[in-house]
Amino acid sequence: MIKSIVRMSAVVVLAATISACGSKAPRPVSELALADSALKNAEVAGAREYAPIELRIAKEKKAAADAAFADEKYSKARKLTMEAQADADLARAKSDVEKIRLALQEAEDNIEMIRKEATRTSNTQ
Amino acid sequence: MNKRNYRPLVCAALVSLTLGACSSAPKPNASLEEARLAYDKASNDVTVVKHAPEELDKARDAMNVANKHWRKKEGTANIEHFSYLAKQRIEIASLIAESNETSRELESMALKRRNVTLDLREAELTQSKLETQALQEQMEEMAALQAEKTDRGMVLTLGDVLFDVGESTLAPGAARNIDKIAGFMRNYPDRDAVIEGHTDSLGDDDFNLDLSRDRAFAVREALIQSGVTADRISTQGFGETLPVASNTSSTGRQENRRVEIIFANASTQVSEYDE
Repeated sequence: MIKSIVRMSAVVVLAATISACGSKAPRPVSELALADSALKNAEVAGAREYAPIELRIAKEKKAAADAAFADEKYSKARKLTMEAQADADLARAKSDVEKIRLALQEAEDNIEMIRKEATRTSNTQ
Repeated sequence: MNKRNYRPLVCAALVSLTLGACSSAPKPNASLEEARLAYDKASNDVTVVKHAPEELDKARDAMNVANKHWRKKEGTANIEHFSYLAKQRIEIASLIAESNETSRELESMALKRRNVTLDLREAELTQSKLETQALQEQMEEMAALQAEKTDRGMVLTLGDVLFDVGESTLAPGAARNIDKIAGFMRNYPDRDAVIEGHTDSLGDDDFNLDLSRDRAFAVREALIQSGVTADRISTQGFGETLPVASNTSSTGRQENRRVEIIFANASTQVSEYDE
């Protein structure tokens, strides 16, 4: 009797383990946190203004990842959150480039203005 | 439950199938091809390699996983997922490279800006030197007119030789002096002039007063003709009331017959050069 109980429970444990391995990937907790901070960094970099499309895609994927995580679909959640992180990083990089481009443009305009002023001053001589 | 227990068996079968299939290449995957092309391009771009090695590493890692899935002919979902990650990382890498290159350009801009600013300063300096020079020339010309610095300001005296006796019409010889004064006034628009007429004591007082007024007025008219705006010149006649020399001698009387042009000490700019 005891023996059969032991055997039964062994079978149950084994079955549970196998089923756990088959359907449940590890929970992508740290990935979700990384995606969150990537999103935050993108917003700080001004992605709402400079890379709105990339930021929206990243946010949508992050939301889908959260939903999959809540459904315990961890493998799907991991993929979505990895993509969300990459999209957020892209939004940030794009924002950085845009800002620097604008700064460069401004600097060029500024120099052009000074140059014109100098030319004007020399021409009045 | 039963199905799961067969899993190892199925896996083994799959592995042997895969091994057997090694000779036949997996079907090309569009996403992976795209990622490979992008990766090759980025890893051959010196600026990307220089500025974004970490992102390139991430891209390569994702590529490797995608390749592994592809070689094992595992689900296209995985291949596409890792190809996507690789492509995003490659794009990030090239954006970072662009950021860094543009920052460098921006830094060189600061230098360029400084040089251009120096050019401007130099141009301004040359300009102001030329202006100073022009002022000096004006002052020298004024000195040639025997401008005198007095309490009332700078006083120019036009002698009576510029008028016919008893007349208030300027003689042709006055034109040069008038031109000089007009030129000075055009260059120094903040210096207004007061023109005063004086006579000697010979003759009728009223006649002398009128004559002094008319002569001052004639000088004013001549200056206006030379381009000075009318509201900058006022005139006054003093007749014989303010002699500068004795009326008993002819040289003294000649000195008293005069028109004075007074520039008040309004402008600090000029008084600087009045030394």
